[in-house]
Amino acid sequence: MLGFGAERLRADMNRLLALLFHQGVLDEQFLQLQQLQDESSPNFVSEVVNIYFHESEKLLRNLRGLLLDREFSDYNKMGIHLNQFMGSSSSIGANRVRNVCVAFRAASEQSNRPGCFRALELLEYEYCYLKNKLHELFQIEQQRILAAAVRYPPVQHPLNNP
Amino acid sequence: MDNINNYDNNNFQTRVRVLAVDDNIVCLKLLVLGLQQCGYEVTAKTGALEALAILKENKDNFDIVITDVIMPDVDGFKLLELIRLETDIPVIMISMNGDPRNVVKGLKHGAIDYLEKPVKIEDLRKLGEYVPKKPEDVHPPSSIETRETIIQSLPPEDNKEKNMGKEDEMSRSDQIASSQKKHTKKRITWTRELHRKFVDAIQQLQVDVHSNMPFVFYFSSYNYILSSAEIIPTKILEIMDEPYLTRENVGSHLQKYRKLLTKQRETAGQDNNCIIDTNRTIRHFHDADFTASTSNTGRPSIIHSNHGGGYGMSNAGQMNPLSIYYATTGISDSFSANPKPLNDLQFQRNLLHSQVMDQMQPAMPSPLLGNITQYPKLAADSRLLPETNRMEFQAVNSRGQIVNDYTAISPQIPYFGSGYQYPSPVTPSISSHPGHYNLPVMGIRPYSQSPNDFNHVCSPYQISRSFPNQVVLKSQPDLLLEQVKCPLPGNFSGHFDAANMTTFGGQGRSEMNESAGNKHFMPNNNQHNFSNLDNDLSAILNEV
Repeated sequence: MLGFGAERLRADMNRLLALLFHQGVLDEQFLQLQQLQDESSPNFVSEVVNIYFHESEKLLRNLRGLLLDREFSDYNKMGIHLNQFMGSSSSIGANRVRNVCVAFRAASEQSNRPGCFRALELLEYEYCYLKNKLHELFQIEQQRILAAAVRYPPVQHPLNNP
Repeated sequence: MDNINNYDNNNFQTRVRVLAVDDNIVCLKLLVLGLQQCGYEVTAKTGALEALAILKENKDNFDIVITDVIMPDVDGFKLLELIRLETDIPVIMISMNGDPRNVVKGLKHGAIDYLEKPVKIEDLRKLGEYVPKKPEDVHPPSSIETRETIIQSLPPEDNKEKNMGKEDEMSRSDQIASSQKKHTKKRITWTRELHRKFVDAIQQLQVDVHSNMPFVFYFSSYNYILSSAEIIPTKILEIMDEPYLTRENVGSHLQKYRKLLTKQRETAGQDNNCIIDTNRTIRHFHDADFTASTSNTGRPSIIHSNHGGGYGMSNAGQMNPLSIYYATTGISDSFSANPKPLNDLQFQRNLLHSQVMDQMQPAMPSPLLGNITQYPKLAADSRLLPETNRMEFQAVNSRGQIVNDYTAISPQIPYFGSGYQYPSPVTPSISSHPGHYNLPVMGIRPYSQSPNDFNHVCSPYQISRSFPNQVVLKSQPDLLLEQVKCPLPGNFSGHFDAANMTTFGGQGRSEMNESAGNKHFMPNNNQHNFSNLDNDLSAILNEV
């Protein structure tokens, strides 16, 4: 029964991944990330993605702070933040977030404040969507690993016991 | 167990040590893991200043540096400059921004590659190719002579094993090594001794032939070349009895020798009034310690106009034995430290000459080892003799004129100096004229680029790779807007697309290619990567 569950969870995971790819939320870079994960670094993907979440939230806060500032003029600094965001997003394969960043940067380069606001909102939405989906994915994976790890203890011959 | 230890040791020694610099932790983490999985030893730094500090501390700790372009503390280009200034470590740039202008800028600043983020693991695997060979693998040539002896003394098998797997095509010394790696294209350096044997062999042949066929003088040079190309080298080779020479080597050398003589006959064509005992002349032509024709007053400056022209025969009359020796062995380069400067004309002539030499390199007839020993035209080699006589006489008579003539024809004269497989005559003299530095290095470089350079062409694919991603996006915004329930003006999506297009235009590719092309002409600051022997030489001279 439990082994069965592992198979089902794997199928769920694949379905979710397929959906995210189909929506363009993720791209092949995420697969690269998964391929990098091996025995030497078993939690690599979730590790990196957690760092990404941490960094991104900091960046989003900063961006919002910059935009909400009354006498806001520092589009340069905004560009730096956005570059960071873009770099990390493309590193984990967060395709849609990255694309919104591109638009955001273009708006900030043109000093288009309303455009920046819209882009920021979209960015926050995309980021939340990605975060939720990835959390879901990792949760399923955790369950799958647990399910796969369950082994019925081998029948031990009484003579082998010390 | 021992095996494992050995393996680990080897691994440790050959491991490429990488310094990765990126302010973006996510990217850095990814990069580091990717590098580790490629088997590199990675040190990661998030700040350019930190990286610089660790580099300054011990620059021998790293084989290669990978740096982000956009960083808050120090710009990637600035970091690149600083690294290039202080060390020889190759630098690879990575950037989110695949803007061709940035790529070109990076390459111009001296980066050896420019990758776009996210870096793919396939690209990381190739990094090892950029790492220059470790110093202990390279024989530091203290002089040309040692280089020659190295080349000649090492049997090709040894060299082959030594150089296996340590590829650095950018350095000239490696080109020598790799040329030795292929048995078929082993290079022979015609040292003075070797050439002397060669001339002796010719002489011997001629004595034989002379007695049989005195009339061979009248064969046209064309016939002569055709007929002798196949037969004579074989005989010369037999007489010379050098195990590492092939018939092609001898043939090639013979052809050049002959051309030189033909040229000289044309120059010295006017006064052919004297014929001396042939054996004697040739002898003392090639004897370093000959004293017979020391009516000459050797002037170092002559070597300059001459050593490009090669064997030193054309104005042997003017040169003292020492200078002939220099011209023959190629050491005349050491004169370039003091003599009077070359003028531009001479300079360009030398340049041209070296190009001619390049074209002459792949000489030689196909191996058709005939055993036609008594072919009459064989005798034609005796043509060599009267010419040398004439020449010597003229040299004694009208020294000034022959120099002028020589300057006129020298671009076409093949170069017989021992280093003749390199376009060597140019740069040594450069060391005394820094102003000319760039010109000749560019001119003689066409073959010196490593195949690695062509790898840069693959970068454009990375750029355009990100392009399809936008296609997905374009279909998205409506859907997104519904989900987000956030009313956006209709022009937003249009603006969106435009933004994408401006950053990733289709022109990226062509500009990238241009950048790859540009890299060809980048001055190579890396001390390890001498593009050719001449740079080596000038470096040696500078050290001295």
